Amino acid sequence: MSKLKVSLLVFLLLAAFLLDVALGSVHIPVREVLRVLFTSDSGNDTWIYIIEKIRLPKALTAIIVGCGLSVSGLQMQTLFRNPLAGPSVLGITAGASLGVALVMLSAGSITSLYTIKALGVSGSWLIILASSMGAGMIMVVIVSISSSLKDNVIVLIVGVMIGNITLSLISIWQYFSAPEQIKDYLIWTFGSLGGVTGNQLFILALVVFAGLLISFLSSKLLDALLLGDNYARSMGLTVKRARLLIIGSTSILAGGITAFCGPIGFIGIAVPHLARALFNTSNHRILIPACCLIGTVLMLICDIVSQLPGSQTVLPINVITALVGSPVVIWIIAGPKKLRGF
Amino acid sequence: MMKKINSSLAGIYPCFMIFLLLTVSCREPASPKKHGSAKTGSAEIKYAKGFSIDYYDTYKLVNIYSGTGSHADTTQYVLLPRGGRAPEGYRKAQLIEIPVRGLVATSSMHVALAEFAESAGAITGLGSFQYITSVTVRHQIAAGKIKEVGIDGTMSNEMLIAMKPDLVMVTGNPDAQFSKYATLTEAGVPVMLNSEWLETTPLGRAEWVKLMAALMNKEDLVNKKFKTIETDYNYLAEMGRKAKDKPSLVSGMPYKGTWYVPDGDSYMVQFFNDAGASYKWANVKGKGSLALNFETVAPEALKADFWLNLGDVSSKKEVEAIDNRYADFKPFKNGHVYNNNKKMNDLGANDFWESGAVYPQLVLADLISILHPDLLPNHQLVYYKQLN
Amino acid sequence: MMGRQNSVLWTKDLCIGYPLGKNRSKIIAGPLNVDLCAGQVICLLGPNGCGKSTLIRTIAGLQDPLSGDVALGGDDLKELKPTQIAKKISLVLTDSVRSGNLDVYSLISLGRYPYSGWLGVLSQQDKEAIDYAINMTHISSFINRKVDTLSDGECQKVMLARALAQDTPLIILDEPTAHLDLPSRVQLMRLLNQLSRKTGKTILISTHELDLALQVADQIWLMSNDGHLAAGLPEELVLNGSFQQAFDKDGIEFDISTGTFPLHPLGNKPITVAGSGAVTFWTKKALVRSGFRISADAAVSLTISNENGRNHWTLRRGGKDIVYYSINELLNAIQDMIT
Repeated sequence: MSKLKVSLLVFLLLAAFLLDVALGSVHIPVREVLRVLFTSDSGNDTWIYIIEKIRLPKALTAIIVGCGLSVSGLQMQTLFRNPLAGPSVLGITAGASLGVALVMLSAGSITSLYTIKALGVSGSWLIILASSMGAGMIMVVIVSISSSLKDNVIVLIVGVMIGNITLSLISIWQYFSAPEQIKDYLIWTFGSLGGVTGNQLFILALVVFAGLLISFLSSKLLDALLLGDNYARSMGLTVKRARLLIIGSTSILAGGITAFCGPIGFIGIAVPHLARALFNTSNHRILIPACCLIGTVLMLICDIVSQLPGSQTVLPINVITALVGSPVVIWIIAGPKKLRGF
Repeated sequence: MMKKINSSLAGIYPCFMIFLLLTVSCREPASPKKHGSAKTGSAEIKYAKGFSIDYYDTYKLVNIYSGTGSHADTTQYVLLPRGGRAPEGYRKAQLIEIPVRGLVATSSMHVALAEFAESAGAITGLGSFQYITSVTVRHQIAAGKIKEVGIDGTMSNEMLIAMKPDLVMVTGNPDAQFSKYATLTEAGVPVMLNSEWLETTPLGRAEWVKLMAALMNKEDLVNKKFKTIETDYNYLAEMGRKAKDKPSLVSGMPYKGTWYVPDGDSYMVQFFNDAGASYKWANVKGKGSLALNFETVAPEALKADFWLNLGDVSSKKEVEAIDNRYADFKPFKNGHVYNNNKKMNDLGANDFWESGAVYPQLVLADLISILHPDLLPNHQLVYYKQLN
Repeated sequence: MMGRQNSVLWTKDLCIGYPLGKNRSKIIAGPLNVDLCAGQVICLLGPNGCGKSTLIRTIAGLQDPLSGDVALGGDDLKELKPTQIAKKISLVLTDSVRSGNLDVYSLISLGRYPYSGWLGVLSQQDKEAIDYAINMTHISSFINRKVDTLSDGECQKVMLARALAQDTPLIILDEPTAHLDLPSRVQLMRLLNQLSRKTGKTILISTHELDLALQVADQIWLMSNDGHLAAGLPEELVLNGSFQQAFDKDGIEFDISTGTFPLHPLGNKPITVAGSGAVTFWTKKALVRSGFRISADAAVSLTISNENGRNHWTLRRGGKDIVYYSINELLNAIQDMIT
């Protein structure tokens, strides 16, 4: 039974991947798309360029982001036993945004920062670095607070409050900035799968893979945490250490993805519910790969939609994930079968 | 006695100009009978669409057109020499005493306008000290003669009211509303909402110097200077448009999958046309810029001859560091990448946006020299530099 | 004090409570010296707030003691790692576990956490332990259902099965019968008793169920509000007055002859009752409720008999005998005696 589901999902994945690469503003016949993908050759140089250098990296980014955000959302929902938790609930993405805001809003528009030679860092790496450092800083704060708190609910509330404080700081900064700077920052907050190529893609893949590996190896921990802290402790789990591991891997996943692609929401909240409903299990050894599979398909679909195939413009990915993700969450929680799992 | 001389002097200049210049139609000229004062003429505004100036015996009337579509609005200002009697019938217009001695400028273009009219000394307030090129103004800042009043939301009403400037100049935008400045106007501080953004041609943009001229009573000087610029520009533009082969170009830098390119209604594209370039979106009408998918513009960039206006980058290495795919573009490979940030000062201010707005002929010369080196072999680039 | 050879858990001068800040703490109970022997059912009783839950959490390692020692099968609790403790003690708490989309089998299999592999894969041994637990608790009919569809009684059995699957010599249950209806409560206590006999595990139950505890427990730990704990056979604790002491509260007294807390104050109308069996037992109850006192030599006496399948209540008052055929009639008749 589940073999059927898995095969169906894999088929959907391949179909979505192909569609994502085949559709865009420039019309390229599917046959040509396949030719370029498999033989890296085509009559038209422009098409090769578009497929290999624009669409393919974007599709790969979508796959990576889909996996990373879904699994980190799953972990947060399990740790806090809360169906509305997501990767951003502890303020990690807010921290990343703060790092980026500091760099974008304080010293002129984005492009000027690409040339801060003093740091020895140039290019979009500066944004990536600032974002990672912001996320890392919040992670350190959350981890140190959580190690002295016994109750998970308190950690959750503290995390949410820290996220709010961070966003307020960003607002203050925006208030004092010039319109061009604000617009640049605003565009960053819309998220984008398109900017990640070459070395960046490689590093993103590495970071997300590391995070996913840690998560998968924590499957047993996560299962135990489903019964709550007391039972988990009585079964031999060192709750503080487990919490650290989970928050750590979530930060790596969410922080890393936000650094390269900006804050992308809703996938992390919606996909774990879909996975639980579809595979009807609470076992994280199954749920984590399930989230990867479903998250990937969903992300690719969102990317296809955001391309507005055939038109000249592109919608920000965050808008699409919200529009797609919210109905999913509503359907799961309030829908006919009550598949919410919580 | 002095008053009467002043009034008549104020009336002479406009009359003089009418005989020298060609008249252009202006919108809604006020009827003299209604206002009890004789209209003596209008300023010749050939290219700018955003304002008009009518001359009367005892005052000048400025109309500024702002907003588009449903937001379209005309605001009137009565420019009155000091000590003069305010004319009747202009209930809604703001009264500005001229020549303006205390000017608060909130954009570098305003500074450029004042500088052009050789009246930069009248500036007593600036939105921000940060991006100023004008040497005069910087000296004044250093001497503590200029106050920093803040921009937009952080503009300090209290400071402005306490300063009692003759005029606060603000740059409008499509949805700008006067209601934002009600506190100031009600306190007796005149606020002028400029609308240079309405202009779709370089000369139209530059012609706003004539508005400053009216404010500073420097019409003569400014008109003369502008005439020279106009002549030079048109000469260059003719040369550019007649060029036999028109190299293709792309402009701007994409960000996160979206590439904003200027469209047919942008003054920048007018520059491209006048400089003899072939630009894919030159005939697309719009709001001045198009938000296109990277995918749509990249094919053009791959084949283009030139790449211009990249923002705040100064070398090819920096460009490549932003996104290594830019290195595939033909202009990058051929070294035909030119950016408009040659004239920058230690504050990070780019003079392209200040003096470059009022000396369009220099910008055009730069562009022609880049695109058709044979046409202007001796020209030294002023605002543009090649990225290496 | 029982011998330490087959002791599963013992404490020495254990003080339990909460730290209140830097150097202060609130002692709830102690010093406590108790001993748990293998194969027994021990019930922990006491009024609300006396510290039962704190004691359980402390000896299970969920909370630190303020002072004193706890030893599990010879090893000091402080020295043991959580995974080691997990193989010695399993818990059934009042925490809610309805979330997480768990089905019954998965929940029970979590009990194998200390034994299962890296990723939680179950070995053959694990599966056998789970099946054993399911059989012992008689829940094989709903192992595929989701936990949030279970009734309270079913849920408790599942949690017990989980603790069983954890295969520990000691199982501790904190108020397992709270929220259960009476049949379920009886069922659960009976089950716990059987389990202890069949598996030889030690079961410590903290409960308010005085009646069931007195029937089921091999040992009672009686905690009182002043922080003392008396341990011993239930019968001995009743007879030596410990029960009265522990539950003493303004006029509520433990009646050692009935093993209950009598609701009604002692009546002032003496009546002698002769008879046997259930009818006599319940008639006495009705009389007590109506304000009578059962005494040996009262002026009024009642004889209960059964003739031809019918119950007779014969009341002798002032030399006369009147027969009634129901308790209601009887009570109505002696209304005048009640002032």
